[in-house]
Amino acid sequence: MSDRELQELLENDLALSRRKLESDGFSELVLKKLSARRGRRLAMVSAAGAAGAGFASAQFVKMTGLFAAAKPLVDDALVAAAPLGLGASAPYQLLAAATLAIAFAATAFILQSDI
Amino acid sequence: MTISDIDLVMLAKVGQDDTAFAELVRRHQAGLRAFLRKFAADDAYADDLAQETLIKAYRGVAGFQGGASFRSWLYAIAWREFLQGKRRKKADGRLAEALAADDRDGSRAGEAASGLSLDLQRALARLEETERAALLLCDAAGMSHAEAATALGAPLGSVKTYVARARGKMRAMLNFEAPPADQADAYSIDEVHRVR
Repeated sequence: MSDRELQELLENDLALSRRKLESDGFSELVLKKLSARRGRRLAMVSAAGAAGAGFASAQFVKMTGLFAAAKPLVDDALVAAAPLGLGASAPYQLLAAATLAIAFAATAFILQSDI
Repeated sequence: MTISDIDLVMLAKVGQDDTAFAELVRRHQAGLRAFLRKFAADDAYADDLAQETLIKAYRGVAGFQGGASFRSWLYAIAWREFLQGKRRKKADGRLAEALAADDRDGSRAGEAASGLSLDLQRALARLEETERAALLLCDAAGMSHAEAATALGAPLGSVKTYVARARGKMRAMLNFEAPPADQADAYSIDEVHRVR
């Protein structure tokens, strides 16, 4: 038996197995599982995100107070940010809102990535 | 016009296009399962490995760099899954048991296209795993030696050696030939006759 004959034998054998497996619904099963996993993950991350957002919102006033307590540092930051037009009439609320926005953005980043 | 694997991978990566990945699954699942069925103790376990491979490929497709073909990358995941599964389940040797069981119930004999196909399965089962994998990837699945090396995570030279050695053993087992002199210690002629 030559290498070529052996190769043909192996090729035909694998091709025969492959043909039998091509349309037995395995692809659909795997894709369904992938979809279900993604759905579960989205639900989990969404629930965690919602809980985190709720918690963060509840901390908004407290966070504003913390920024106010760190007044010297915040003032320095605001002075530095002034040329960029980032000064605001209510800087502490703005900083607290920015902190929450970063948290939301991080959640959104995780959400958009796949399983 | 058929869209290439690489283009589908790009679509799956950039647009997180599930349709593109679904097409990759449809293209490769049968070949992957046929390959894994030559190693796993039973077909159901081979399908589990294939499923886990495809799920891992889906999760890791963003990291696919394109240095190798998608197929060899996919088979590399499958090969790792198989080896890890073997370590976990200590499945070594179960294929031989499964084939022995087949002799009793004839279940696989019914699936085989001919007596030669059954002999082929038995001869394949007697090869070392890496030899069997290299032979199947290169001679049955049509991969280049380089692709097979990627899939098996082995050096190119080793893969060439595995393929050459496996061909020699297969020829001997299927032809009743004595093995080449340098492989004579790998198996005895009695084994060859037992295969038949």
